[in-house]
Amino acid sequence: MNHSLLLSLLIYLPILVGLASLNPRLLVLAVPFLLYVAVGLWEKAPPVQLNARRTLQPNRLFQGEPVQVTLTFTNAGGALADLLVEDPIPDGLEVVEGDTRLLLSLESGETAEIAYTVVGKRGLHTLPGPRLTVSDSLGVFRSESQLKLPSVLFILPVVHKVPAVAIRPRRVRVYPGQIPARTGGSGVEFYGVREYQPGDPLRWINHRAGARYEQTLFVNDFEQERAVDVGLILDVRESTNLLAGSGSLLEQTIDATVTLADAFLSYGNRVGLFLYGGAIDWTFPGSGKVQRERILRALARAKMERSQVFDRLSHLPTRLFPVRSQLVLISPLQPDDLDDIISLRARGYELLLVTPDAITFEMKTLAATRNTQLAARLAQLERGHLLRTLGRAGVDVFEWDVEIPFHQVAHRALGRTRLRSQGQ
Amino acid sequence: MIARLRVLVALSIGAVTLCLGAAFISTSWYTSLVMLGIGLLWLSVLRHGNGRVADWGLFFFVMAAVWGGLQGVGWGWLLTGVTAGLVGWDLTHYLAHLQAAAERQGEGELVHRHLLRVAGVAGGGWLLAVLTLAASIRINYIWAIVLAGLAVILLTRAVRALRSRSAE
Repeated sequence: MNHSLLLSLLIYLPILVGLASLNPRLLVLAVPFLLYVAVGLWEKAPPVQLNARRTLQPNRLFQGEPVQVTLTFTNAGGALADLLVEDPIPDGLEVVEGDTRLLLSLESGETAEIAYTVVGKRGLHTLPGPRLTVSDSLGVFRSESQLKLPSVLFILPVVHKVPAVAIRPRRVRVYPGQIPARTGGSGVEFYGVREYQPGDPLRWINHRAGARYEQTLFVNDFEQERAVDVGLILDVRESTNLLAGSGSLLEQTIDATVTLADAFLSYGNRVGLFLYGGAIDWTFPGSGKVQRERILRALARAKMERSQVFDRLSHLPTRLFPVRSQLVLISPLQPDDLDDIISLRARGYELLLVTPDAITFEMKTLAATRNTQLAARLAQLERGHLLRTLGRAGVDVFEWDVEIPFHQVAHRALGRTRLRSQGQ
Repeated sequence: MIARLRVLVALSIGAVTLCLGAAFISTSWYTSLVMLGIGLLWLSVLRHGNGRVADWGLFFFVMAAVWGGLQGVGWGWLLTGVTAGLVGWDLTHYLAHLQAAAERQGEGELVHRHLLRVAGVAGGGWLLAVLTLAASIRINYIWAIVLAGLAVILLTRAVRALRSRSAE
């Protein structure tokens, strides 16, 4: 019940009944309440004028790392007899040390602070301004307000290191890298034999080949290794990313995307990221540490989205990716996606499909009855057929069981030269 | 400090229950039992922290005091009971207010200041009420009605002003 309403009732009730019954003893029952309200009014809290500052240390961190939040505020107005300061925490963050609420009496010019530690899930978290509740010393009249003090906290997905991922797109860049370029030159792997040209190192001379021809020298040719363009496409469609218990397939695919992006970037490739499923969310291709940070931030923001336009893969804006470059699609897949993925191959893209095993993931949350097991078996057959069809179309397919972290599986499997429809 | 405050809340609720129970015991013992029931229900707030029970507890106690006044029950018991009820209600809410924040800076001083105010209001209110009854002013019925109307208007304005301030 509202305090004001209750106090009004308790004051009026004895007065009105006393007047009606001409009983003065009833009138005096209202006196303590009248005095209570009068004292509350007399000691009414002045308008709140707080200068507040919030620091996050650090304000960029990886999932699971703690962040220290300190909210410092100074009273620039009159003395506040009873002040409750609460720093609201958005969903996705959890306080592990300290408390977000502080009750105190704050004199004019006095400073106080709230310090606490939070850990959070991947994402871009905005902490709103602190909520203030001031009241007189009796607590009769309370007023609430909220300071405008938004702070942004980036919690990035954790990066796991994996060795080089075996990709061989037809189109390579002019810069040296680690991807075989199907062109002779300086490199490591043997590529062929050609006639000696002045300036060739003598240690390249192939004496066995030269012995077959008089007056002609041959040298070994090596396959050049270049950097390439890699387009990462993360499927964030709500229809493909299953929710099971407290986890979702999206978290697994984001983990895979982070690992792959880091692996490609660490070998000097140019990597772009497209989040497919909602609005156009495109991280322009680039290389180096700055690009790594851009991609991490884009992935930190990634969430499941629903859009009628992007419900199917047919609306993938392929113009964003250079022709014949390497595309990596990270998606749990839908049966309808088959034709769209094959059409990407038909356009000349080298395609690596990284897909979590959605059926095993979903089965964890379902009761192991005969019917569910039969349904799962049928779904596995359908999915297996889909993946084999994609493999036959020239798509490198990498499927993994999400029970095992992606980086552990990728560590042994993604370095292989060809992956055509192999599961883990 | 919280534990000490809990004891004070329990004492206040006990006092209002006893006063009103004692006031009614000579006229109707079952009303005393009802008072005891309301008091016990209110005491459960201490364990479950439900402020609404305190609101309804105080409301029913004041209703009972008004009923007792009409029945000619000893007004001293009623006034003391109502004053103790006000203290119990205030302390119940203050306890919940304190417990809402895990961290309290200068808790001892905060509680001490609040207790002083409440004690002042309760003592002052009780004394003022006694003095009001002791004072004797002779006015005719028309003046009484005019003064009462004036009091109602002034009170209404005061409460409206208070509500608008608390909403700011």
